[in-house]
Amino acid sequence: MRIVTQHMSRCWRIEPGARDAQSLVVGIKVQMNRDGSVRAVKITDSSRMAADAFYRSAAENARRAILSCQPFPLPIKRYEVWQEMRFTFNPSEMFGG
Amino acid sequence: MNNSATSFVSAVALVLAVALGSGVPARAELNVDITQGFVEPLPVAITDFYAETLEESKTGKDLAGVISADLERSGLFRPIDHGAFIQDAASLRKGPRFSDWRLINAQALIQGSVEMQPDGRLRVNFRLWDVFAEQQMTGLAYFTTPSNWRRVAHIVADVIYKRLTGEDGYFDTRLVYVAESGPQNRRVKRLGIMDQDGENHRFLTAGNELVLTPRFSPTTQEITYLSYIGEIPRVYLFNLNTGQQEVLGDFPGMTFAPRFSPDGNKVIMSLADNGNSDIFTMDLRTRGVKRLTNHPAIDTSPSYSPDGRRIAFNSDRGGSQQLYVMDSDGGNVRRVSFNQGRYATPVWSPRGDLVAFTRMSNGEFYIGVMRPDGSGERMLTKGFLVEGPTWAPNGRVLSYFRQTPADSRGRVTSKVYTIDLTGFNERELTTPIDASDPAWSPLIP
Repeated sequence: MRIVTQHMSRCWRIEPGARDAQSLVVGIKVQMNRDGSVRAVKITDSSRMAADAFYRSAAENARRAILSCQPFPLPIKRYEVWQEMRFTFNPSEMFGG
Repeated sequence: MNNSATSFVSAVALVLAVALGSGVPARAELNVDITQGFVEPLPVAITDFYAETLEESKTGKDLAGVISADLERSGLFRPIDHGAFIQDAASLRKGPRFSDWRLINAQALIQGSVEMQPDGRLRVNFRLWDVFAEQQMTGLAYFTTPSNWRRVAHIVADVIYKRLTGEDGYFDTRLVYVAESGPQNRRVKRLGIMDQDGENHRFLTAGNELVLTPRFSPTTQEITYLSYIGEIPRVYLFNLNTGQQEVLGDFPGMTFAPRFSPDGNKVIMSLADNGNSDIFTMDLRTRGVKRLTNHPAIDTSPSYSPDGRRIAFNSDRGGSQQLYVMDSDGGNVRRVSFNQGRYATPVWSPRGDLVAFTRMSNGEFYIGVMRPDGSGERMLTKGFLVEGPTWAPNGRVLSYFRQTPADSRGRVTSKVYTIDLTGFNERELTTPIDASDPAWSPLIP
């Protein structure tokens, strides 16, 4: 879904100096409303959230990116396709990895 | 019998239905990979800390000012101008109106209050909010003497930095450095010390004797440095709490390039006799000396890894001055720098992932970093003369000094700088006079 990735690239702030920044891959489940706003957002790896301060920081940052990016410009006709999304934030490409 | 078999089957069916239905939607989720973002400081709103009286209000404003300056100088945060704020400090006490803060794109909100206690102490508390998730991220209260407000501000800034980045802070720290004055041929060099933001500056030595290469203990408020007895350099210890100075050991030759071990119990340094220098450690309690290298080449500038198991140093044993890493017992020596030029003063990051160094190539100096195995080498800054890298205790920021070539009147200026390990956000650290050879303290206990 290129429209979503393009939209998100303007909202996702990356912290390149964090320790092992390229390995901080974050999964987030999102439930969407029809108007493109976010109904619910959940960071999937809650155990790593509790155990790893770097991961928590990266995950909360990714969540902020989703929340600050709404509403998403998505076609209402295909709502059933995008009403539940699973985002994977992977910064490794931005570090040339 | 038949009945119970039926109920068992239906129980299994029910479990299956629950498993299928629990949180798993009937339709497939849309998977979206996000691989592109941008690098920019995080916009944060830091409100003046609320207070009832005029005097407390001034402290509240000063606290917010120092916290804001700390976060801004790190290069990771962009404090939003107060003029843009919609919600005022008084109504903020009842809770943030998140939509007001989202409107000015504040990603995080910091509020606090200041209150003088009947016993004369100051109570400072603060809260950090995630504006978009509408959640409190952390909140703490501190009691302190009113004159200590600046330190509390640094401690609060460290808590905010850690909560937002995952990394320990480094604002409640100091730097010791060599303060320089006078003409080049009669330079007076004494030890100076200041907070990491340049405040609370003072001199530690009078300037009668030349001082060089101060290094902080990673565990105590002690400094080791080099000074001269006559023409001979000696390694000294300086206790910041007592002001006491002492010579470390009595050796026939020169001792130089001292640095503490990560546990603060040893000093590792070079000892030179008859023109050959090798690396030794001295146990600070027993004063026992141990030789680690024994090579006709010049081995110097040793620096421990934070786990104390390895040591980086430089040596010309391969023909030119390069960086080497060995085990802490002196074994398993391997070269790690291979690019053009000469390499010096390796400094192991407190985070353990990088070694900073000075490199001289094609008539220019560079401050760079590489992984301890020599891979991933990159230069952070360069100049006519840049030298003496030192890490902030979180291993995220480096300080070093930069000297200009002599001007038409033969004057040289030397200044201390800081830079983020990504190579961005290079800043001068203002000192009252010329400055060289900074050394960053651990977090103040």
